[in-house]
Amino acid sequence: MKRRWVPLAVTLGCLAVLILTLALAGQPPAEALAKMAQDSFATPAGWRDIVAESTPLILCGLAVFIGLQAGLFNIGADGQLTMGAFAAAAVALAMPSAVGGFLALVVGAAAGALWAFPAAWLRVKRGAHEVISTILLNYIAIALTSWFVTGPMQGPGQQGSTTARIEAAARLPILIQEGPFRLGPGLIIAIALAAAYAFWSRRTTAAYELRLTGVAPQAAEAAGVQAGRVKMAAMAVSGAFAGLAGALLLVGQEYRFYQGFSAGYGFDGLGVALVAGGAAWAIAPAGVLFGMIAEGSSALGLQGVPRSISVILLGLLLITAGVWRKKA
Amino acid sequence: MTPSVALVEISRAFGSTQALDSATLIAYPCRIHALVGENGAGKSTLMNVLAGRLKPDSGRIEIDGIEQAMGGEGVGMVSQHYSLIGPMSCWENVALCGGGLGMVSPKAVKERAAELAKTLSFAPDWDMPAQDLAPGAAQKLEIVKLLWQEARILILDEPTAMLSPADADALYAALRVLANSGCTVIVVTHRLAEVLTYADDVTALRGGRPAGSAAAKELNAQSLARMIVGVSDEAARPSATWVGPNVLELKGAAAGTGRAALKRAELSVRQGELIGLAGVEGSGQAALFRLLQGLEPARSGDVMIFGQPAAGLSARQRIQLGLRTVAEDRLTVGVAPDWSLADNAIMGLQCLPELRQGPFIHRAEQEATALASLKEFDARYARLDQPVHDLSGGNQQRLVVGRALRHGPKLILAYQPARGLDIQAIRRVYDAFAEACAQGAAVIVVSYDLDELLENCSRVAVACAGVITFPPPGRELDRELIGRMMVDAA
Repeated sequence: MKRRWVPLAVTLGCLAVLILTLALAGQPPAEALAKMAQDSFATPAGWRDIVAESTPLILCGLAVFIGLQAGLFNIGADGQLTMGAFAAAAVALAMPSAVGGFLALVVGAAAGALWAFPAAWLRVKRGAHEVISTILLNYIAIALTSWFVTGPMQGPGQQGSTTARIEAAARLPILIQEGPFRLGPGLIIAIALAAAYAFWSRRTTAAYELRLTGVAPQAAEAAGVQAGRVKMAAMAVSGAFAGLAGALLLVGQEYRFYQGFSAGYGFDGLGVALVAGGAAWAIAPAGVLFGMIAEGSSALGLQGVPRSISVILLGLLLITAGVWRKKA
Repeated sequence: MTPSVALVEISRAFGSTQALDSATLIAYPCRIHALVGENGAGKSTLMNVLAGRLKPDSGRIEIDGIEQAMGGEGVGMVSQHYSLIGPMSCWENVALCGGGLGMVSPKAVKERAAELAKTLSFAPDWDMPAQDLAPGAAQKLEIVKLLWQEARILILDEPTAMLSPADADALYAALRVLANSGCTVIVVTHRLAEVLTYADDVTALRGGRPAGSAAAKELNAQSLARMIVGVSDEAARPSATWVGPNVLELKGAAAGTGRAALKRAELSVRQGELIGLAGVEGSGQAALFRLLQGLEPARSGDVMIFGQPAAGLSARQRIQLGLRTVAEDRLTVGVAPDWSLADNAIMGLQCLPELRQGPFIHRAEQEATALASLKEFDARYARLDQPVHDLSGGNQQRLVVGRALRHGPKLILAYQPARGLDIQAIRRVYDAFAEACAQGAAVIVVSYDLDELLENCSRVAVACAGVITFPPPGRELDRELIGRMMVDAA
């Protein structure tokens, strides 16, 4: 089968698995699916949640994807997202204006890049495996930000571990508001970046050298590519996308930073990137798919189907995608 | 006498490719049988059938006069790429071949292995890791493994490809002893001189079909070549007529570490020169190439490349100045096996201005480069977007060597460019190198086949234990002297 059809085939396979799991959970699959489709995909509130979920998923998927292209497995997108959101909160709180909101995105991306870079540096210069170091950096990010929001940056008068809310002036605008449905610039930025990356990746010499570094580092060196530098740059860009995901969440949706900020988007990003396989164009659709699965499983939860069904589904999706990747 | 091997009218297809078409091979015990033919003639397929690794579509297989459904009974094969497990000791590699009841007694294994190795005049330290064996010794350890499995029919695929002339002589002497003890030895080889010197019988394949078989003593170089390629093979090589300024100047250059390090290189190469670099594997050739490519700094000595001190030039700048490489290890350095032919064809050239349009890859030029690289030596392929791993090894090599000739090469470093190629393709490679030299390039070719270098190069340098030097002036093509220099006996 042609590589480009793999994502579609994986998706259909997962739908089949979903039907099977519903039957096993004791729900008539047809009815449950119809209800789920009604609640999540036919209501403005459902789409609002899908938009909200998809934005960080696409960006984290992109982050992991870029790392993979350079031959690095960035498990640290969650920590980079956390640092990006935290830095964005600090900027937006200090500068309650539209400029501050924009700057928050830039600083958030930079914070993500800074949090990812040491892992690449350790890999290239010292041979420390990036899977281990990025996981450890995740823990540091979580612990460090927790300390800040329970201490020096805890919002005045707050009982919980959270910063104050950022001013309305620093928040991202809402472009479309239809009843409960809301669309901000976040999803558009995410999709635009994914599309731009897909274009860049197919056409440019720099992307050729990046991919060569990933598949054959020795061949890359022989072809005049400084593979170590490329890896470090790729990891920094990867972290920047994850950091931007956090910053967008903060100034576009949550408006404050709190303990346990990331709902595991960085890890779901691994799934998004793996489902996209080698195809950069598939990242955005895969991100939206993951968003729909998350929303659909909440809807199923309301019908009494255990929400862990989405975890099962995602797990299977990943295993299938992984097997396919190996074969292709 | 009953033939020990009778493969009669064997046919085998892979998809739409007919690899073997009624191929026949009859071999007798106590004799060394050479199987010859061009790339893709079906030699390996036929040997895989005999070794029981492949089932033929049709044909008869008889071993010691008894018809078999598949080959394999009493047959052992040493592939071109040795199947030794490097970090494990020699005796462990032998013990892995099985036997006994799952119990391994190191002492018993070593005793029996030593007994078997004695016929080969081979006495390694059995506790030494297999990766520390010299190429000739590794080849012999592979043969011990076959004897351990009581193989009476021994197949060796290109056994001398990595050996110095002295080691090759020793190997054939050992094979003769085995043949005299009743074994059937079948050698697949491209080296016609070896066939004429050491083999008793010869079978040739052409395009999967039998192309003749004869006793070796009835053949000479010309009739043997004609048997293989169908046409007679003469045509003198155009020798480089002019020699320009220095492209390369190495004085006491050292690079790399370990056993295969370059300890001292004294080389000067001028435009228009086709230089051969002789030496057994691991004599510092790879380190020299890495030094010249800019992948390894010089630890000491002077290196001038294109008239500039090499230390100031990055790998990329050297490529842009005209450095091209045919890598030693094709599959990890030469190509990205999963990538398309088009993407592989610009690997290493992607940084040239000709192949760029601002930040973008120049698509039309990429396609033209790919087509020209493939056409240079008639590599067989289906589409430019098919992955390189779809191509046979010989066709991959054609692409890699063809690529090195694109976009005005000034210095070509070719590591075993003839590896896996047949006589005609090898000739065309050297013709193309000579042509590049005539256009003002310089070429350095590493090969383990001294005769190939003497026949094709204008001068031959020698690498021995990390020291690379030219023979004294006037004796640059003196086979005897170079042979002795290769083993440090000059």
